[in-house]
Amino acid sequence: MTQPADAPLIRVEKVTKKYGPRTVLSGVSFDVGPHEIVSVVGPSGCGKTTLLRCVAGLTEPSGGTVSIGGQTVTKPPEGVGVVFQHFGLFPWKTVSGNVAYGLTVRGTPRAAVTARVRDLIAMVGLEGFERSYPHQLSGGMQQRAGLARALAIEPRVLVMDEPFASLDAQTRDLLQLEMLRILDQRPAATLFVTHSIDEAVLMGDRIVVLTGHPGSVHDVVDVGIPRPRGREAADSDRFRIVRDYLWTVVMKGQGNDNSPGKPSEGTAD
Amino acid sequence: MNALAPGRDTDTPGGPAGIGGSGPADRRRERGQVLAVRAAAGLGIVAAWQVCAMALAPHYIARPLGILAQVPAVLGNQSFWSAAGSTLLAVAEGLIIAVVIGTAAGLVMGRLRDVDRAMRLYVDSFYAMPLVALIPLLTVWFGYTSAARLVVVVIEAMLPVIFSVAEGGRSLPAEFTDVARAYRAPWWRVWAGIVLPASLPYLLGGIDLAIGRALVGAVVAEFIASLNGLGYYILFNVRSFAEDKAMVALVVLVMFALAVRGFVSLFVRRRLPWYRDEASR
Repeated sequence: MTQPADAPLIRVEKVTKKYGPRTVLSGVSFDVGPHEIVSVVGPSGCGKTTLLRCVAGLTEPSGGTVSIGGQTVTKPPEGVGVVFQHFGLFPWKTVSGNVAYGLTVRGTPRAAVTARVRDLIAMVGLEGFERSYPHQLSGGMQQRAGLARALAIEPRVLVMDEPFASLDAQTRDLLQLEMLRILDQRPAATLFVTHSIDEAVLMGDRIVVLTGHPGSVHDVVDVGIPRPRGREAADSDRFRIVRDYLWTVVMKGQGNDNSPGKPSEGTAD
Repeated sequence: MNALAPGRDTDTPGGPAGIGGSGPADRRRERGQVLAVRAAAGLGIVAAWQVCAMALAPHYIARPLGILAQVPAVLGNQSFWSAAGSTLLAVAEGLIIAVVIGTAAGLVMGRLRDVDRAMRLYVDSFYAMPLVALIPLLTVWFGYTSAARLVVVVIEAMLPVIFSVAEGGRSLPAEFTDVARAYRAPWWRVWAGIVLPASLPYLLGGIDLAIGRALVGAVVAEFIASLNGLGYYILFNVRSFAEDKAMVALVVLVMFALAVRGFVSLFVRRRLPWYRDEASR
C-alpha cells in the first residue's frame, strides 16, 4: 500500500490566496507524506499553480499555512526542488551548468558539484549532452535537465508544475514512467500538478481534486495502485475506476454536469 | 540591428541538416555568389558615380578615381593620422564610459519599477531629441575642447544603451527569477548570474546603435568647436575644394564603424550562440 509510514512532511492547512478582490484559493488543506506522490488535478483556473507556488515558498498565502517538516513556509525553504512547465533552463548555461544551479548558488565546492551533476545527468539519460545548450535540446531533453536540476539538491520535497504539459505525447509517456522509476530510487514528498487526469492517476499515490472558483478541495482520492508501477498500471481495473470517478468529479467542477451520479460520457480527451 | 538579427547564418555547430542540398560545399558556393553580386553592384554604383562626376560636375567634386588617387597622400600625412587618432580615441573612450553608465542605469530602470516610472519620460525625450542641437550649448559649457566632444559622445552613446538594457531588464522572463528564488539564490547572484547575462543581447543591440550616434556626435562637435579630428579634417578639406581628400577621411570613419559593429556581431556569434537561436524560435 502507499500509506505514508511517517508523519506528513508537507502540511497544507486552510490555505487561502486572494489577489485583491479575487479569491483564487479557499481553505485548501491536505498532507503529503515524505515518500508520497500527491497529484493535484482540477479544471483550468482553479488555482493549482498558485497552490504549488505557496508550497514552494514562491508566493505567500493570504490565509492558512503551509509547513514543511514542521516549519512554516514563508519563503523558499531548503531542500525543495521545483520543476517548471516551460523548463526554466537558463539559455546561457550548458546542461551541466543548469543542472548544477541549485548547488552552485549554495556555494557547494566544485568537486562535489561535478560528481553529483555527472551522476544525475546519467540518471536522467542525458549523457553526452553535458556541454550542450538548452536551445540545442528537444523539449523532452530540456525537461530531463530540469528534473536533474531539481534532484541535484537531494530534495526532501519535489514540487512539479505540469512538468510534462509542454511535451509531445510520446515523450510525455516516457518521462512519466522514468519519473516514477527515479522517485522509486530517490523518494521525496512530491506534489505534482497536472491537467491530465490519466497522468494524475498514473503518477499519484493520492490525488487532490480541486474544483471551483475559487479553488477548494473537493476530494482526496487514494489511488491504491502499488509501486513500483509500469505501463501496465494504466490497464488495471483500479486505474479505470479511479480515472472514471475523477472524470465525473472534474467535469462537475467545471459546471458541465448538473446531475450528481450521472456517468461521464467518456469522450476521448 | 544587423548584429543581432537571428541569422540564417550556417556557422553554428549543429546547424541545419542537408535537406535539399545545403552541405558545406553548397553553402560556400552560395556565399561566393552573394559576394559576387555585392561586388558587381558596388562596382556598378562606383562606375556610375565616376561617369556622372566627370560628365556633369566641376573638378573639385569628389569622384572615385580622384579619391583613390589621394589615398597615398592622405594616408602618408602625419596630421591625418593625428586627426584620426584624436577622433577614434574619443569615440572609443566615450563608448566605454557610455556602456558602463548606460548599463548600470538601464538595469536599474529595467528592474526597479519605481525608478522606471520616474525616469522613463526623460529618457524617452532625450532619446528622441536631435542631440546635435545641444552641441553649441555644450561647447559653451565645456569650451572648444576635446572635453566637449567627449561629453557629446558619451551622451549620444549612453541613451540607446540605457534604452536597450532597460528593455532587456523589463523583458526578463519571470520564470528565471522564479527559478532563482526557488533554489534560494542570493540577490547578488540574481543580478550577476541572471539579469546581466539575460540583458547581454539587449546591451549589444544598444551598442550597435550607439556607435553610429557616437560618430555623429564626435564629428559634429569637431565641426562646431574646430577640434582636431576627422570631422574637422573633412570640413576643412571640403571648404578648400579638396573633396577627394575629405572622402578618404570619410571612408576611414565608415570602416571604423563597420569594424566595431563587425566585432560586436562576431562576439554575438561566438559567445552568445544561444541568443541567436532563441531569437529565431
